[in-house]
Amino acid sequence: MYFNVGKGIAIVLPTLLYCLLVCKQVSANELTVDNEVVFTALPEQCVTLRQGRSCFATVELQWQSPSKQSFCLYQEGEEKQLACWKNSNNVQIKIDFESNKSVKYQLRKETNNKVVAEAQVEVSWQHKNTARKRRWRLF
Amino acid sequence: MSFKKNNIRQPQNQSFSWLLAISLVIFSSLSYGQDNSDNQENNANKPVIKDGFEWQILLDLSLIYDPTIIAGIEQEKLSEYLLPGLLVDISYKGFYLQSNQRRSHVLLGATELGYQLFIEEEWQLDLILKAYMQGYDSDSLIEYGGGDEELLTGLKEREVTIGAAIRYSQYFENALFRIDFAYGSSGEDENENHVGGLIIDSFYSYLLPYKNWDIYLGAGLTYFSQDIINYYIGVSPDEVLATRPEYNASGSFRGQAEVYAQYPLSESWSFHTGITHSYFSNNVKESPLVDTNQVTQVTLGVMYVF
Repeated sequence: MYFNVGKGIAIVLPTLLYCLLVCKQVSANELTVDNEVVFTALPEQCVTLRQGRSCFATVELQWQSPSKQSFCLYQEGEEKQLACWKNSNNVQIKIDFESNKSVKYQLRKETNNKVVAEAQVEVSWQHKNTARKRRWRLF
Repeated sequence: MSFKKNNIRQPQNQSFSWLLAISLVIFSSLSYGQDNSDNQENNANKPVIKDGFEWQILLDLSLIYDPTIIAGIEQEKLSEYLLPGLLVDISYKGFYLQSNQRRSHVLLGATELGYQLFIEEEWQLDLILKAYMQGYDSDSLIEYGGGDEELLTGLKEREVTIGAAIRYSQYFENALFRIDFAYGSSGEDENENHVGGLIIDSFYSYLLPYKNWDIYLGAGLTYFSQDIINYYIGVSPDEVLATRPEYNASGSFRGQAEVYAQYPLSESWSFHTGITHSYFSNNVKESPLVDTNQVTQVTLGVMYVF
């Protein structure tokens, strides 16, 4: 029994530590579906002065895979692909970001359109866009 | 020659304390005896919805080049260019305390206490209490701020002018025009008579968004009545020196042109910079106390939103 408890602790503790370390590294902009594909968007946050204003940024999207893959890049909710790559395993692309709300990017398999990874650019703001604050900002 | 910002701004601090005290009394008294429903005053024909409880505090850390038209007052030390400010905006049941972020250079003197009389979609009528003119104290400037003794000695302290105004604001798609009709109350003259007079202050501000920048283009025109201008730049008989003849000032205008830009650095920090050119009527230059009738002010800094 003592041995089992000790063994349990020996398994659980490293697992917990591993999870803490690894889980912490998975940032909000990296919503990986396929564990083998790492897909990131930088910057992960775009800040505007006021709520509702479009946020502008140059976003660098990057994906890496242990094996060569053929993927296409989409913006969630849009059917038009932003880019496609054949037999690649490390790709970087810069896009002009312009949106007043958070945008999720998807990496899909070229063959069956299945989503393999997602990355998000969050849009946030400094001032809520209430009527009064709109006037403050104009002041 | 130099002067300490803290010294010359003491009157504004006092005025702000005054405004803050009044506003706290009003806000605290209103928080009792009234319900928590939204602030709506219903008119049979037209509902008027006044601001509910909202607040915002910003910390402004700025560098500012802030020349004055008064001779013998100049910034020299780096510390005289540094200007931290706490900007407070509160509204409750039509009452509000608001800061003009783009003009925080007059520290808390740019804070206004107001009450919304009428609010429509495109226009608004308010009652306002605010500081319209900065004061200066020659003794403090000479003793602590490196003010030019020859030019400033023997001048009585000029206190800040607080004005009670009725303000009309017109809102456009990305712009605002406002005009204040104020009675400005200054200190006392050489005969210990209270000094006060009319101030008409107008300003137009246009917001030009570019990418993540907010760029504001502004222009203003202000009229100060004779009593108020004379209080600041007139030379009374008991202030006369060999180099400083008696002078009676007349009413004057001030025109302003302004460009101000703000950029978000994060959810809490933003960068801001601005330049304001003020042009006073030519007759202002006739005063022995006045060096120039044009000044250009430049600000550069960061703001933290709490």
